[in-house]
Order: sequence, then structure tokens, then C-alpha cells
Amino acid sequence: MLNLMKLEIKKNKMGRYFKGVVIANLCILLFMCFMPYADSIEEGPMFSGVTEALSIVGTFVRVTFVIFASVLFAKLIIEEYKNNTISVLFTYPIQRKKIILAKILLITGMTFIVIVVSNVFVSGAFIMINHYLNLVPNDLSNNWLSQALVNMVVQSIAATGMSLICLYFGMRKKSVPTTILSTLLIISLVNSNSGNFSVSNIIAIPLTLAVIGVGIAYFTFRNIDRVDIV
Amino acid sequence: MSIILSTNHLTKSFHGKDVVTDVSMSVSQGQIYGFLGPNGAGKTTVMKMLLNLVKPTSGDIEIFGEPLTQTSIEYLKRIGSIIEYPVFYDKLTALENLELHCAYMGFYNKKAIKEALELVHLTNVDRKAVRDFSLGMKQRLGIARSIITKPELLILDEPINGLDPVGMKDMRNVFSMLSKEYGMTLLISSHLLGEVEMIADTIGIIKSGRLIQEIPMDTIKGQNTDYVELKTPDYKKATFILENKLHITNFKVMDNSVIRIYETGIAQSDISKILIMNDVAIESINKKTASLEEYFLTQIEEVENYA
Repeated sequence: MLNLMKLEIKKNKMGRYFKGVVIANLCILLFMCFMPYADSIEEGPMFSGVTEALSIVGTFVRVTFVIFASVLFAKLIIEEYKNNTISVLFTYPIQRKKIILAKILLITGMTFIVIVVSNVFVSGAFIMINHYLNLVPNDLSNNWLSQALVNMVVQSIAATGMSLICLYFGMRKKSVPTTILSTLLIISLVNSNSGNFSVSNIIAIPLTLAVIGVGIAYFTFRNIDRVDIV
Repeated sequence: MSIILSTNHLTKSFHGKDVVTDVSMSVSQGQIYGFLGPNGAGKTTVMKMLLNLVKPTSGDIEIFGEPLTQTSIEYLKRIGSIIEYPVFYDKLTALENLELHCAYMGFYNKKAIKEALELVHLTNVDRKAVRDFSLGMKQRLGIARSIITKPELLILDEPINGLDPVGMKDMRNVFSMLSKEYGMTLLISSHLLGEVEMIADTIGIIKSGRLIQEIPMDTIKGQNTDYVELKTPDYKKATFILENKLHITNFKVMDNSVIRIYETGIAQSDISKILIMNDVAIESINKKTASLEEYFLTQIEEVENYA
């Protein structure tokens, strides 16, 4: 299985992906630092404090990398079908389930790790910058760290699971745009913020969606060994 | 010779429509089997079923003496294939594509890649991205990919499609060499009859999803397909003389100037002598052998007339 994942990394030149991750991280950080300035001109501060700023960071990171994940799903799975390279891949003496599972595990694993690491990096950097520039008032309580970490891990798991939902739409149409668009729709529904309320704040909702995502992935590929590749 | 691949009443239907019907074929070890049929006859579907990409609706397949099941995969180690047209990871180079292939096949012999590329005369391109390849080059690369691991059975769907005449000759030599030197069994589909004729040991003709004939090339060559073709401006008189003076009945007027005489018992010189003696002008007279193409067309036509 690890070998199959390594082959996928080699095949798709995933090194470029990590460059994208670094750039996305820097963009989010930059954006977070400028937002308080931009907004203070109008009606009061954007964030009431660091706590809220960090929750926004979390949302940004999750949205960004769930979309990244859907791009990867499109590239690694949907495109193989579209370009018909899947018919070569499935004439190798390897079970189809194993090949697909390797792809899914690689993408979800990477997405989860990237979300967590980016969260830590951007949040950490923002707190440091805030310490010197005082962009927003520091309202962190004493035991915020452990709470924030638990919350972050749970949210990351939920986001990773949610990223799988796009497979259902993508595989039905075997279309790259459908895959990415379905993710954009879901993620914007779940994470849209109106008056400091977002559906994703009720943790049960993203978690349920994550379970649905895993279920979808399972049902989409359950019969893969019996399906005709035409 | 043992049978390496056989199908038994193989049938496949898509959406209730039969694409392949009741195909029972058998390929012996070491043979080159030419799989002939017009476009859309079901050649590719049969080959996909052999590779387990498409699952049969009914019927059985046996490869290397083992029945094929929906989840058979081990046998694929011993098979090389090209289906429809050769597909690659376009952004990768030829070399990277072949390395990937070896890794997936569980085959680790770096030298084999180079050998395979040399065999198909594809050199100095291993660093070039495949998307910049012409169809002919892709076809060669596809053949190279399928033979790297020196499989026992090669399943090639239209492998000479898109090659120039030199390329076709090259590949013909490669196929003969693989069969003779490595003892590989080749199943080659094509609609280019002349090409298949030159290398195949056995041919199977498929039409509208049915295998209408499976016959060794030797038998076709041995069949009474030689004829004398006579070209004359006065075909009426010529036929009269053929019938009445030479007592030949087995001939056919192709169009109003060409007559084909299938009776082989009479020498060509006798025919021309008698015709000239009777004042029938002869534009040309030749002995001819019917090619596989004609045999193929007759077979296909017969089926059409029958249906």
C-alpha cells in the first residue's frame, strides 16, 4: 500500500503540491494581518479578539485545503478515468480496490496533515505578529491551547471527511469541473459566515458530513472489482 | 501445442444489446493469432474481457489453464497489452512512464527498459514528454511498454495503427522475433489484412460480435483460391469459347472485360492458345492467388447474405 502511494506521488509530481501549500499558507497569513486594518476604517474592528481571529484562520485553512483535496481527487482519480489511463492501471496485477484505496488514503492523509500543520503555522505566526503589532486585543484565556488543539483536530477530521463528498459527483460524471465545483458548493454552505454564525460552529454538522463523505467513498468504489471499464 | 487462451460461448451485452455473442476461440501457445474484423465488430470488447477490464455477461474464459473470475489478477503478470490506443501519463517522459509500468508490474530490471525501446526503434526520446509524441511514436512506445516484462502472452489491439509503412515492417519483424525467439504468444487485432496475413499463424474473423471463422493460415493458403485472370475486350466470345471449346465451367465474369478462371487443371498457355486461335483478343492473362483480403471479404459477405 505504501508503495502504491509512493508511485502516486511520483506519477503526479506531488512536490509541486507542497509549493502550493506554502504559498497558500503565506497568503492566508498576509490576509489575516491586513484584514484588521481594512476593516477598522469602516464600522469598528473586524475581530473582537485573538480567539475570533484564530477561528477565522481555522475556517480559511480548512476551506483552502478541502478545495486542494478536491483538486487532487480530480487529478488522481477522475482524470485517470477521463484519460482512460485507468484501463492501463487496472491491467496490472494489483487489486482495483487497493489502487483506489491507496489514492484516497494518500489524499485524505495529506489533507489532514496539511490542515493541522497549516493551522498551527498560521495561528502561531498570527499570535506572534499580533504580539508585536497589536492588531487585535489579546483575549486568550490561560488554558486556551489545549482547547484550541482539540477543536482543531476534530475540525480537521471533519473537513477531511467532507472532502470525500465530491467523489460522488465527480465519479458520476467523470468530470473534473464537477468534482471541484461540488466541493466549492458544500464548503461554502458549511463555512459561510453570517453575523459570526456559521454552520461549521455546530461541530456535529461537519462531523456528520464527514461520515457521509466516508460513506460516499465506500459506496462509490464498493463494486469497483465488478465494474466494466469501457 | 497446448492451448494458452480459450473462450467458451463468451457473450457480452451492454444495456441489453449484444456486443459480443457466443465467441469460442482458442489460441495455442507460441502462435501469432490474427484477430480480424471490421470496425465495431467487437474485437476490443473481447480483448477487454480477456484482460478482465470488462466482465462477460455469460460464457467462460480460460487463460494459462486457469478459469478467469471477476477478481483474477495474478495472471495479468504474465500478459502484456495495448487496448484501443496506447494511453500514457502525458506529462511524464517516456522513460518515467516505462519505469512506472515496471513498478506496478513488480518488475525490476532497469536494462529491460532500454532493450525494449531499442527493439521498437525508439531511441533518444526517453527524456521527452509523451504528449509531444506522434501517434506512431506512441504506438511504438505502447508496444515497448507491453514487452518490457517479456510476458508469455501479448494482447495487442490494433498495434500497427498509425504507423508508417517502415514502422509497420519494423513491428512485423518485432512480432515475429518475439514469437520465435521468446516463444511469446501474440493475439493481434487489426483491420489491416495484408499486415496480419504476413505474420499470423491462425486467424479469427469476427463480424457483428460473432466469431464467424477460426482457421489456420496454412489452410487458407492451401485452399483452392488460385485463379487465372483474363482481360479481354470481347468477353462474350471468350466465355463462349471457354465453355464450349475448353469445357471450363468454373469461371466468373468480374466486369465486362475481366474473367476469372478457377479451373486449375488447364494450363494458362493452353487457354491463351485456343483463345487466340479463335480470334479473341487478349489484353492480359495472369495467374493470381487470392489474398487474405479477398478471403476475408467473402467470409463477411457470406455472413451478410446469410443474415
